[in-house]
Amino acid sequence: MADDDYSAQLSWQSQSKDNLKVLMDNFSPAHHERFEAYRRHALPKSAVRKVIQQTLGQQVSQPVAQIVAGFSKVFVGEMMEKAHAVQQRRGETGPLSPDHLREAYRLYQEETGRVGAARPLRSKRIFMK
Amino acid sequence: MAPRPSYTSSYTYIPSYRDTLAAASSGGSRGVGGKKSTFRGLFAKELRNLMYGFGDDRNPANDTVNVMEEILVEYIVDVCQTALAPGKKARLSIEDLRRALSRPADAKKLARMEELLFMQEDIKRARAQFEESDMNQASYQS
Repeated sequence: MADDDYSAQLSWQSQSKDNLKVLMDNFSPAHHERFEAYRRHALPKSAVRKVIQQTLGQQVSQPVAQIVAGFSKVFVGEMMEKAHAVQQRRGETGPLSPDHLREAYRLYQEETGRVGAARPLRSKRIFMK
Repeated sequence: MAPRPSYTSSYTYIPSYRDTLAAASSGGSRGVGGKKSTFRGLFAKELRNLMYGFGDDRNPANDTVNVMEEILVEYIVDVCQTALAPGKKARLSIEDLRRALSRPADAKKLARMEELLFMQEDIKRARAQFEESDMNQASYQS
């Protein structure tokens, strides 16, 4: 990794740390618990590796599997956020239902274009948010 | 005459939950969708905690966890397939993934990847420094 990139990341990280401290100082006990769960848990690297190797017949190194596991966790978060929005829009409460998730996934596909297909059907938006 | 099984072509979108239902009822797997059903439960335990962390109930519904797992597996396969797309690749590389995550919609995921690469680099540098001081110590003693 270039030294420039490394030191850029270093300063970004320290700034993020300060911001996080302010946020966490204002957490309720419930917030703390939930945040702990978010921080502590991750997708198992071995399982991610298995999925890639068995479905695509591709050899994948452990560090690369770790990276995929990492950004896939972000994807899970994006799905959860969308599903929660769907639930709220319908005025429903309680644990998320499979339907909320499927609708969220459908919306995700629509907004981003299928990753596999690579191309969205047509550009729907004139103004991007 | 028995109905001909339908195979999914290179990539047509079929919600994977339908595939797993079909696979379960027909007793066989059907192309790409079928393979995904064999990963049942691999992620469930951690996903449950993650879903709570991301805002769900302390006890997420089992059905929802299962659907989340299906969607997750489909996503991982999608991204890696896209990353490998441009021809015969021996191994999935970071550069391939960087390209696959280059769209605006994937900005967060790309940023997380760079952050993780930084952490891996951080550990590498720390280890190199530690080993160097270790070797210096050894040479003083000899």
